[in-house]
Amino acid sequence: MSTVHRTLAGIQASTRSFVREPFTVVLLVVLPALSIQIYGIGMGQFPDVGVFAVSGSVATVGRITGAVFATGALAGVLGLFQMISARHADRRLAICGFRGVELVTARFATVAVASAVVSVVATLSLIVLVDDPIRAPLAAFGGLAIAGAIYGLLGIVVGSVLPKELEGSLLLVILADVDNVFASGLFGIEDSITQFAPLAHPHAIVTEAVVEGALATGHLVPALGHLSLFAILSVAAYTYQLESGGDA
Amino acid sequence: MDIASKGDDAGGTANSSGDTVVSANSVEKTYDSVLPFTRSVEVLDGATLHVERGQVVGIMGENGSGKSTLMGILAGVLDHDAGEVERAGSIGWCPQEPRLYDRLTVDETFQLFGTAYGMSDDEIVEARAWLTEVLDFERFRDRQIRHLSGGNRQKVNLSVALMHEPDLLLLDEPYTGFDWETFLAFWDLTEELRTRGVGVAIISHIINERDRFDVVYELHEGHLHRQEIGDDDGLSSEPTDDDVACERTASFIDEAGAGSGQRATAGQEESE
Repeated sequence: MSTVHRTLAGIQASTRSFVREPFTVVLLVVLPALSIQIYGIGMGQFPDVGVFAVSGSVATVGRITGAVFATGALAGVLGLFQMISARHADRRLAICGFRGVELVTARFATVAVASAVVSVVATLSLIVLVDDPIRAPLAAFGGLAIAGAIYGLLGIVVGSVLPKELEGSLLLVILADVDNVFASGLFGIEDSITQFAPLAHPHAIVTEAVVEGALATGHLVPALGHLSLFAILSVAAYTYQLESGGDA
Repeated sequence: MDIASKGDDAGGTANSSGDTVVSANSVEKTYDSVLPFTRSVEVLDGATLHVERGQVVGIMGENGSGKSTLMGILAGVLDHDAGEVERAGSIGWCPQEPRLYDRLTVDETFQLFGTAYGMSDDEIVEARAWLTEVLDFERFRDRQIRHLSGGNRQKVNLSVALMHEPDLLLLDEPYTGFDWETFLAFWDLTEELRTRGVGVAIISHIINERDRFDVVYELHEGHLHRQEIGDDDGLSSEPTDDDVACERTASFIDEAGAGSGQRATAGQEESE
């Protein structure tokens, strides 16, 4: 039995598990739009001049912030729940003959698919809900996809070291919220601090795409750097919990 | 990172006796706490056990005595602190709690774990047909695991351990939730495996089952006390609270079975 065959079987099983939860699918569709609207309406209450130092209208930046938050929080929670629900079965599958690398690949592929789905939904919601047409929708999708992937991986890390649904999801949502506030640039926090927030560069990419219609190439490399860092962390955390019997 | 072949884990190394499928010698295991002001728990302290081909071995002991820990170590799921564990041939492990993917159907579960074992599609179909018939859950093949009753979930759990016809079968309370007929079918299946030369180790709470085993090990304070069936030496003569409870359970099963095949623990309608 080839590694490819086993890996594909693992991906297929994980994907089936993901799509067979209707409530998750509903949340995926509803939450991004809801978050974008709430942030947009909330921020839209402030005047465009004098309160926030933003490049576009405050309402637009609010909607972008809502989209980035929804993408990060949803992808993170999906990654967390996937880890928690599958950790014991993953361990058994390893005992039955699956190699660690095959399980890691299957688990990460599913998180990548989930993050991509969240990002597509968030991008479409943003296109519909932003007042002016988005001039670079692909770049906006790219920024949201990186935000989703980073938090999907963070969900794996949290699910591996803190396999508790309530505590883990609270931690992820709060992290995404604080991170997003730093990333938004709304409050004039020093760049030397905000650049370390995982969502800072994806947020800048989405903002540039929506407001300027361009790809923020200066933020692309740091964003991918964050993504690589979280990929390494999540592989280490997943491997640790797999080898500790799924009871880490 | 190849967990299945890590150290002396599954896949095992040949041991001194050609008939021994698993051998544990002076195994020690302590659960250390990482938190301050909490104590470590010593579970196994020099536990020794051997299972031969075609032998059915029972492992008994009080709740919390470390039976599942021992089983986990034998299966290669848990690390041990000291001692040696040697295995020969393939292993089928049936944990106490079914470690399955809740949202996969029974058929998909067979397919996934069969793939893990390296079985061909035809072999998987054959194993599935055999086990669903013997354990009587063929009609639930298209159900997701989360929609099965506890008893039927346990049947899938057992089947996953059996489907590749292993040399050694490690079963941790495998018949939890089984109805009487399935309970009997399980023991028929065990007899069939015994004649095929499979070594079987079963954690059991039901004292009346002792006659079904070739050897019984009682786990008490970290030590395993071996008893050939018919030999009372090495077993504590004082019944524990668990023993009394198990005798009651066994009597209940006996009474239920003495009827006209009525179900002892049934009433398990499948939930949708």
